[in-house]
Amino acid sequence: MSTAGGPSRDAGGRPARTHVLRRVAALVAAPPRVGPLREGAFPSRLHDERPAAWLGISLGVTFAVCFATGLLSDLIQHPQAWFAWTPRPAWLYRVSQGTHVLTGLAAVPLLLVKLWVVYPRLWQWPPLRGVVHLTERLTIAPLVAGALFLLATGVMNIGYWYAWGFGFVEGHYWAAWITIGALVVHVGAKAGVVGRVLRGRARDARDGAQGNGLSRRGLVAGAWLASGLVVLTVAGETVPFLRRLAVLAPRDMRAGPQGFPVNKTAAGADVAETAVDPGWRLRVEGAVDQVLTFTIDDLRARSLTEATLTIACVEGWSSTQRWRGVPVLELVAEAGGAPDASVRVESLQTFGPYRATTLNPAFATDPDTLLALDVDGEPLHLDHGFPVRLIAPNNPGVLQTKWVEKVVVL
Amino acid sequence: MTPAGEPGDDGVPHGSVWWTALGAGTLLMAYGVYGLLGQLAPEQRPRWLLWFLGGLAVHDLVVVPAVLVAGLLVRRAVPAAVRAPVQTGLLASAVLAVVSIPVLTGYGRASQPGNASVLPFDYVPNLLGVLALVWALTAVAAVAAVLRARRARAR
Repeated sequence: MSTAGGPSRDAGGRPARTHVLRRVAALVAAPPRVGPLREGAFPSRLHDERPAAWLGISLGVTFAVCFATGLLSDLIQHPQAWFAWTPRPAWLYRVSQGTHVLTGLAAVPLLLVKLWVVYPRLWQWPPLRGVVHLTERLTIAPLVAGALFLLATGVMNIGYWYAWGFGFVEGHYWAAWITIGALVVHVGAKAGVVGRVLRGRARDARDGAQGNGLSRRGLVAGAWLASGLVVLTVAGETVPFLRRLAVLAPRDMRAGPQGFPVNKTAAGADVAETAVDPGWRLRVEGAVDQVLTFTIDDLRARSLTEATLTIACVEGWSSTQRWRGVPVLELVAEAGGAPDASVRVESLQTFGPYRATTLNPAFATDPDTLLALDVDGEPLHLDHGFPVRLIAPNNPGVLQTKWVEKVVVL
Repeated sequence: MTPAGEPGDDGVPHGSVWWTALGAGTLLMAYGVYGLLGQLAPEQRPRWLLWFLGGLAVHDLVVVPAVLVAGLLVRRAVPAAVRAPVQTGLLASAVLAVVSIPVLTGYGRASQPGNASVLPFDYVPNLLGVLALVWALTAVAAVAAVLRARRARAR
């Protein structure tokens, strides 16, 4: 280091800068072990690899289930050339999306307890042991941040609390890819520890540490118990026989006009006037021999089809009703459209991502895919899509288009 | 080689499983970042990052330290014989309260005006009811633990 120039010199005549740098270098080489860096800063025997491994396995399973069901739901709503959703079995989306939400809720205590167990590793000593160790530690940040982010945004979203200032669907979906990537790295790094624990050869590094409270098994059981309680107090929004227990659920499958929930009201969709306009007509157009138009009385004069179908919402609730209406396939046939055509169903809504739904041929030709006029023996409530809504088996709730005015054969 | 007292420490990762996982996981993460940049509007990106890293910071620097302090207080205040059930009761109560924050605050009602089917319950009394049940079970478990300890001592 040059000693020439420098305005500030200490008594020894060397630049003060050198002293500062040396002190920094000394601190980096041997930092003082204070606070959480102290040896024995985390005395509980529960900061142990056995609960870490068992909770890690539980989280691996829950996050894998959430990822798979989440991808499926996204594919259904954003169809790709290589993927076509089907109307049968009719219960599948209800089960898969209910599983997505309930598994995510179950993961909350697993994640929080697991992070508490391994928290001392955030302050591990020495902090870095070379490039590979640094790489592994760096991938923990997206893993923990992503897992917390996914569960927090998911729990807020099912409570209709959109406080983030970004689109939930994109933000949650891409965070899932990042988190799962970091999880794959983590599984690779920890496979040895997990194998050791499963074979009953855990290292007893912490024996003699503080005890006398929860045991290691008790902690894992406590986390599972908390998962069970969270699930039990919400699951009844989609599992009928648990309905009375769902006291903390954001939805009650029987609360709402005509006894089931509404996601978007007519006022919210700005159709409160157009939907009750006596000039309303249903048009069947597109690739057809002749364009058809129906008044509400024309539709009611037909022999209507009845079907018991479920609205299964992406937010995890579901509700099953008896619907009556006109099968889409009848309208397509009467207008002279191709029997295997896709069909776009459009709403009176003039804005929003869910103002129209495209039914692939499997949905368009299912005899239970209805333009419904009645639910449980009454004309649809305005908030349920009066005068006519789409209701199809195994179709996500957001795609069950309400206030329909147009059927376009593609 | 392993510093004592750190859960799940396997030293520095090594071997083919690790390198394969690192490669595959990095590709998945890169795909996530690529998709995010492609689909989030530029003004939304800093907000996404704030939530992503903010959650991590709040958890690691506020939530866990608070839980550790609470753990110390429980250690001091609760007799050893009933500590395990009390810790379990506290864990369950805290988790139920945390996942109920959205329904308790009720912001979701404001985002869906005129829709009484959103957050249809009175969540404060409902949560208190669930917590009462949790603590009733905790009390039963605590009594059972005390009786067990007495019987063991009598023998």
